Order: sequence, then structure tokens, then C-alpha cells
Amino acid sequence: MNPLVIGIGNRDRGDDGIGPAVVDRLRQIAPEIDTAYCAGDLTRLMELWEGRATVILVDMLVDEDDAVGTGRTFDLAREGLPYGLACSSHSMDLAQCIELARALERLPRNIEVVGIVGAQVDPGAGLSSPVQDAVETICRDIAAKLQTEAGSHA
Amino acid sequence: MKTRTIEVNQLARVEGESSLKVVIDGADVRDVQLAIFEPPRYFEALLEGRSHREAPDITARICGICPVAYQMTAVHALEQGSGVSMPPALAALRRLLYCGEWIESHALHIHMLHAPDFFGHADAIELARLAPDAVKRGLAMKKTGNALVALIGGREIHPINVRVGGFYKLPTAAQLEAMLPDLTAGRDAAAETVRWVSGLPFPDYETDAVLVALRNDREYPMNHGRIGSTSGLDILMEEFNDEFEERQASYSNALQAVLADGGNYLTGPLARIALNFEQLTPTCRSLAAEAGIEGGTRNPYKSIIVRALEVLYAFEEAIRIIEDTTLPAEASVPVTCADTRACWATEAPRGLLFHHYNVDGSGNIAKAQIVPPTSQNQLVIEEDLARVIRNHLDEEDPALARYCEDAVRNHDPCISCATHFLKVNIERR
Repeated sequence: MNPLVIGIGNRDRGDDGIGPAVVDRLRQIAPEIDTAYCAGDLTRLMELWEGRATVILVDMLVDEDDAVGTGRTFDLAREGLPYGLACSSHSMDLAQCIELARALERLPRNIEVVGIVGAQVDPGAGLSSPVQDAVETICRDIAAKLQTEAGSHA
Repeated sequence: MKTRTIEVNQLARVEGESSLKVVIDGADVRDVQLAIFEPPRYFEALLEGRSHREAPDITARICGICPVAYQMTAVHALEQGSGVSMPPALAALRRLLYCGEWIESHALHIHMLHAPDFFGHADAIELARLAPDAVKRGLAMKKTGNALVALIGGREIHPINVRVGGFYKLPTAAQLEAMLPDLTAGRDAAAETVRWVSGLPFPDYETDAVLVALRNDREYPMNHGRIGSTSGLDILMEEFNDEFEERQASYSNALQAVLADGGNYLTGPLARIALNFEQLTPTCRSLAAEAGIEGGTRNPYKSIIVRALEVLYAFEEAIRIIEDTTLPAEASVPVTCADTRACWATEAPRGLLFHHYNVDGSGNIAKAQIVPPTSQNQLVIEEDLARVIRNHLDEEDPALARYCEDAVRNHDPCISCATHFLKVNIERR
């Protein structure tokens, strides 16, 4: 199956909408790439990526040390995400879902998270300028990466 | 005499922010406090001045895992206050929606929050390595429960399709029928889970608390019934405030409910099954007998079996409703709600949920009272903790703390639901 890009987050909560924004833009500039949205119950990720060998997740990152809009990539096939104290028992956060999938042997062979440092998650606020500016670069990088991989497998 | 103080500053695998403080003086358990420090959320105040039609959407925001319970209690209360009762087909769809919530909430608690305790594991991820099939089964059941809530409620978290008078939009018969294969698979998976949890090692412990739940002669209670108890209480929902009382403890941001005589009581799965065992399906009753809890159980650790039985029941009931129900022509009936007092209670996954509203002549809510299950269960949880501590006084503090956390999780408390209100006393001189 083709690679899949999943945009994680709530587009109505400020910079948390970075994931959906990247998917929106990818659908415009690279419609050949398979994409999906995921908000709310992140255990759905395992269903979304079932059967995929390559998956890229895009999500907002909370990091007080880096500038807003900075992107970081985590290779989840090699390392887990930083693991904090769970804030809710009603849902699992991304790090927990990744480790649950790994324990259940349902993690794709190639999976990475592109995290973008966000500034605010106020309801209805939209993306902050630095995060909005990062959308185009992230989309170009993802499209180039997936095209390169497709070429190497051709 | 040596005094020990055990503090668990953040209870894991419990929704919301709470802590536990225990003071032991020699062989005497001096004090047990389940301190809920999550900030108050003021939902009752938020409702004041808003149209009664907003109640299902505002109250749904109280909880991300049981929003349907809040919606169902609110709309039934406001309809009761307006003298309107639901046509059978709309009532059946509401029960179907509630089935979805019981499935998703219980499946999560059984497999991800409660079961790890019986294996000595820290969380569901460790359990997934040991019992992957059970965890996969739990996730699959939760997915089906979510899908049912999304189909009838409009979305799986904080549904938006419930209104006073019915629904905004009806699902189609084809959409409902399309759920049947997953519901049938879920029913079979739930039976497997009942057998799986029945084999877990259970501490020998029984609560002597009064058990309180809705009672219903026709069906296992969700949206309808009288309020009953194991001590003979049998009242209308309207009499709730005559028989129960909420009070403030200095160490907790959540109100604590007690019986009118000051006694503690417990709501939730143990109470429901004790008061309504005969309303379960034959399959559920048979599996309960196999598990050794025919007629119910007073062992809070075995609440995991009762939740599994209720998941099985909800799957069976959902299938029955879809197969038996002809969709109504209209999604709702007209309701005129003004200048009235209204109340109702339903069975949330965690137990009895009571709402009371005063509605003014313009149809706006003048006063709201919401009593969630966790408020009602707090004192029994503290009682359980005191007894568990007495039974393990010789243990080192970390082990004792672990026993305490297990005892809290038996009741699946939702702290976030409970902290909707803070009593403020203003002294004027």
C-alpha cells in the first residue's frame, strides 16, 4: 500500500491545527499522496495505518526551548516519543498510542512524527504566523521525501 | 506509637486530578482522604441564564467519556418538566445511543485501566505485551461503541445530535443495519472478555455499603426507572433530594453525597446488577453464574466482571433495538419548556447521575443541580481504602500505596465529572 500522511490535531484550537493544515495543503499540491485526519481518539491511528509500511504523522509539538514554528522529526521505528504523565484516562496521548501499537506489533515498519513547535491552542484562534509559515516547507519536505522513496522502490 | 503518613500525589489511571492521604497511628487508620484538587468547573453556574435547549450540549462537555449520560439526563429532565414523554421509537434510539456509551466507556476501563492491576502492571502498554489478544479485543469493542455513538449522536466525543424532544437528525435504517456485523462480533468478543476477567485473581473483600441504582421491571436500567437500594429504598426520581444530601469536605473540590440519615452509599455496576439482575439477558445471567456472581457481587474488585457483563448486555441490547425498531417519521417531538421544575436520573457507566433544573417563564434555566456518580461514591471509596489499609498494615509504604490505588480504580471514578461545583460561603458581618 502507498505511504500515508496523517494530520493529527483540532483545526479549531490554534496551533493544534497544524496537522490538518498540512494535510489540507498536501491535498492541493500533491494529491497523489494518501492522507488522513485524526482528532480525538488517537487509538484510531492503528486502524488508519493498518497495512501501510510507511506513515508520516504531523502534530503540534510543545517545547519551550525551541522557537515557535520549528520542526523536529522523530523516527518512531528507532525511538519512542518523550513520555510524560498522562493527563487523562479517557484517552491516550500520541506517545502512549505509539507504544501501545508497538506492544501489539501494529506499528508500521517506517513511521515518523513531524512535530512543529506551537505557541497557543486557544479555541478558534487559527494558526500563529510562525506555524502558518512552516506549513509550506513541511509539505514540500514530505512530498519530496515520499517521491524520493517511491523512486528508490521503482 | 509510630505514625505513618502515605501520600499518593497523583492517582494514575483515574480521570482527573486527585490525591490520596492516609494517616496511620500504630494499628489504627486515623484518616483517609480522597482529595480532589482538580479546579471546580462551574457547570451549574454556566447553565444559569441559558436556554433549556442548550442543556444537552453544555452538560455533554462535563465528560469526554460519558457525555451521553449527561445529555440523556438533561433532556429527560426537561421533557419531564414539560409533561412530554418520548414516542417508543425515539426512546429506543436514545437507549441505543446509551448502549454505545456503555460499550466504549466500559471497554476502555476494563482493558486499559483496570485489568493491568490484576497482572501487577503499570499500564495497558505493559499489559499489551503480556495479553495482546485481550487488549486488541478491548480496542475493537471500544471502536464499535464509538461508531454507534457517532452514528446516532453525530460524533463519538461530545455528541451534537441530541436535543430536547428527540434528535436533530435520524440515522437511516441502512446505516443502523450496517452496524449489525460489528455489533455481533462485539457481542462475541464481550462474552470472551467476561470469561477472561472471571479468571483473574480477586482479593477476598466485600463492601457493606448500601447499593443505589435505578430499578426497572422491564429492562436493565439506562434512561428509566425508580431509584432503589439494597436497604429497601424505592422512590421516584423527584424524591432524590429528600433522600440524598450533598455536602462539602474541606479537603475536596467535589461535593460528597450521603443518604439523608448520613450514611454512605455506592452507585455503579455493583449496584445496578444487584438491583436488576433479572433484567439481564439469559446469556449474561448464565455467564454471571459461571463467574460465580449470580445475583451480583459486593466485591469491588469484581466490578470488572460486572462491567464486562454490562458490555455484553449493551451489545445484545443494541442488536435487539436495531432489529426490532422501526424508525420514526420525525426526529423529534415539540416541547414547550417554561416556568417549571424538572428532574431526572439515568445510569451513567459509573453510576447514578441526577439532574434538577428550575426553568423560568422564558424557557431559560434559573437553577441547575448536577449530582454525578463520583460525588456519590467518594465516601465508599474512602471506606474501602481504610479497610484495605487495615488488611495490609504490615506492608511497606510503596506496596500499601499500590493497594490503595487499586482500591480507587475498582470504582472507575471520574474526578473531572465530580468537580463541577464549589460551595462558597460568604460571611457578612
